[in-house]
Amino acid sequence: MRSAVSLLVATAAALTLGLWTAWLTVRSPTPIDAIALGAWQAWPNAGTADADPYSRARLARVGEIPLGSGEGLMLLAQDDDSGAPLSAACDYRIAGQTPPARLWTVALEDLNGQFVEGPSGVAALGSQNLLRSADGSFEITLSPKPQTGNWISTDGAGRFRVVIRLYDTSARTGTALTTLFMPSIIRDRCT
Amino acid sequence: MISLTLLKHWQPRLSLSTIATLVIGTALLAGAIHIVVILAVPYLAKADGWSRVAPHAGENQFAELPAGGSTADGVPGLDPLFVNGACRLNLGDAPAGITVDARDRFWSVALYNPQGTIVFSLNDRTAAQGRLDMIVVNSEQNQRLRDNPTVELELTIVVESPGDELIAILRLYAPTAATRADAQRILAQSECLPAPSVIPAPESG
Repeated sequence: MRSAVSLLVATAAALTLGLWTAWLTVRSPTPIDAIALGAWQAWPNAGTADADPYSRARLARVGEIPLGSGEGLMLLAQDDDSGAPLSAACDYRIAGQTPPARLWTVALEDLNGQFVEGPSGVAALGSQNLLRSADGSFEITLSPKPQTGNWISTDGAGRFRVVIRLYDTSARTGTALTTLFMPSIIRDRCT
Repeated sequence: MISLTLLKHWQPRLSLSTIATLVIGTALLAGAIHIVVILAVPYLAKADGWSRVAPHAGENQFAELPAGGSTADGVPGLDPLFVNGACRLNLGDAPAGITVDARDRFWSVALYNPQGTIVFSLNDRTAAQGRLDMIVVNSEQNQRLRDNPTVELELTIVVESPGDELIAILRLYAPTAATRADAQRILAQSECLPAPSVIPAPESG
């Protein structure tokens, strides 16, 4: 009787442990098979023949179509540089440079991967429409209220993620991935 | 954790080796369950990329994918500054031909398979003067193509797909309302058709 109970308890523990660790690895954004650059994460293997089972499981759950190697690379941040989750209650500055790419876009999306559409249109900017300083660096303000310079409205966004998509980029090749630099996400005022 | 505290409580009755066996057994079983779940997810997931895009993909033409919207019927992870189109290819009967003509903007084409893999992708830099002429074949059709080289195909990109079922995804950069309308026109004019004439009929026929 006692051994039967022990066995039952052990099986239940194994089930819990197995399912829990599996869930941890396929939730989005998963830390498995990812490269991390400051606040940013990317999954260069997602959707390729080299994808590991974790990437495949994550994509199957999230349902997004990854960018192909000839198209570009997506990078995602859901926290600021200090590690606090991004929220419309605060203002942020995205400042610095991106890896070389012919074109890149920055967009806000909700925690389900749907892009944010505020009262003033889609919360996104293309690299061609960006004001830059002389050295090529840029600064984008995320705020619910209109700002001068590059501004993306977080009005009505709640919790959100920032997605940068680099198109026609050399950043996808294995050696380049380790030397990538991404802009910082700095929190300003919070209301 | 629970099992450990229970086991500690019962320690006088359970030998150390029994406890060790139970702990190791629990860990092994947990590992096995973990692996099975991870491997099973792609087969069990109802809302993977393919099943989200397939209902919106056009037959013999590109159809625009719904931008955003509710999670239920939208395709997540699409760039809001792009016009995205999808077209279903079936290479079972004939190869498929894809023609895109778009200048002065970034665009890309990806071939996506039911397993969730991008089997091939390119962008407008690869296309000569913004014009793409692409033939998608399966391995058997590719073999026949190689046996009978046609002069016309020299300017055409030939892509071999491991499977017959594919969805071609065309993404066009369109950051403003004007460029969006233009991109939708390009999407409608882009061809995505069976191309039976590209390869000679099988000799048996």
